[in-house]
Amino acid sequence: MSTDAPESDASEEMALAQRLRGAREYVGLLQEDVAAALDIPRASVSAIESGKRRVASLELRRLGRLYRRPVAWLLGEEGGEVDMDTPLYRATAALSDQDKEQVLRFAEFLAGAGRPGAARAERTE
Amino acid sequence: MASGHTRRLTAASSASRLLIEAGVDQTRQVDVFGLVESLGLWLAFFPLDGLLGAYLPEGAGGILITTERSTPIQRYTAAHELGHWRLDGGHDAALDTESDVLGRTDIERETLAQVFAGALLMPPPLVHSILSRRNATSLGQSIWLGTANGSSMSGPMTRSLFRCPKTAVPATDGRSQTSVRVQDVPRHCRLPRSPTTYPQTRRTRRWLNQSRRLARLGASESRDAVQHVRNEKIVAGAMGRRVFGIQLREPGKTQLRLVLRNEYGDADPVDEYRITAAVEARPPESSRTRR
Repeated sequence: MSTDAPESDASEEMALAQRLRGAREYVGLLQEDVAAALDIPRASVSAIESGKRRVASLELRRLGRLYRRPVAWLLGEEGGEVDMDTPLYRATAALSDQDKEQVLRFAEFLAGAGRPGAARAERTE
Repeated sequence: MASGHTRRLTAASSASRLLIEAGVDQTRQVDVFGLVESLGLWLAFFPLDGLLGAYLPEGAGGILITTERSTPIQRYTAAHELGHWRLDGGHDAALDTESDVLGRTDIERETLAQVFAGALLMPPPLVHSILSRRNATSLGQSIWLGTANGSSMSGPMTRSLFRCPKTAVPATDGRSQTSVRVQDVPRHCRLPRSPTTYPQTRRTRRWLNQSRRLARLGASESRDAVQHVRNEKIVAGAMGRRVFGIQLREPGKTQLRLVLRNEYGDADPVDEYRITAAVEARPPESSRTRR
């Protein structure tokens, strides 16, 4: 029992790292861009995304703003997936797997992204 | 209840109003991608294999465009999705395939979005501005205008500009060119047609301005006399030309028929070019030497 907790922490950190990498790639940012925005070395961003470095809570909040994702989504506490009962989900049934995935990912992104103008403002902070 | 024609006019005027509201300079090419973002919508480009684009109302709303098509198609798709956003009140998602955006469709929602897109990308001040600069007076030149300004959908605008009957030019709804005889179409509304005779030539090339059409070649007579030797692929919707090389194997006159069809669906030909190739037999080498 005592060994379960560290294993669980490690898997959660790895899942967080993967979500951070996926979120960054989805908005088309390079690790250099993120490093500049957070004022940390690029190697630190790389370490965060490979699960070798823990993310400070303040960094996580800033990453969430940068990637237009709620912190809860980055932490895996909030799915964000499009509900299967929604008309959009049903409408994607006729699409190819690739198109369905792209549409649902975009809908998921939009749900938590706020307005694009706000994104630009935060990037220039 | 408003008629279909009235609803199409309303869609076109909605595009005009949007350009005015957004402060877009209508004498220049419309930056439709910038317009999307200025309206507070997200704009994303990702590879899609069946869809050309989508409008999704989640959150602030966003437009998704395929990366797999040329810029004019992407621009027209973005304008089409803006049409859904504007005309549907931004409430309903739209997942649009090629037939929804570019082809013939019986779905009025898509037809209205097509009309909206044409009016958005080809506002009359832009058309008149360029036509006056180019001193363009023909329909062919105005169709070039559509491709030159990043919209391959110039049909509706050229129709209104030159007051042409609907059947005289290729239209976004794909319903044109069905039953009108060419002699019934005013001269200024006719598509460029090149009945050309090429005497004493063995190899003939014709260059065709391309927009959203495919051309298919067929010889109406003596099929064996013609060899189709070259057919370069071009990106649909992109500015460019398509080159056909035709090698005539036998002397004599051959009528060639070049048929342009919409690549979306199996509608009647959009246009036909008839070429008469006349080839004279060369005298044998020995007789030329004797002269």
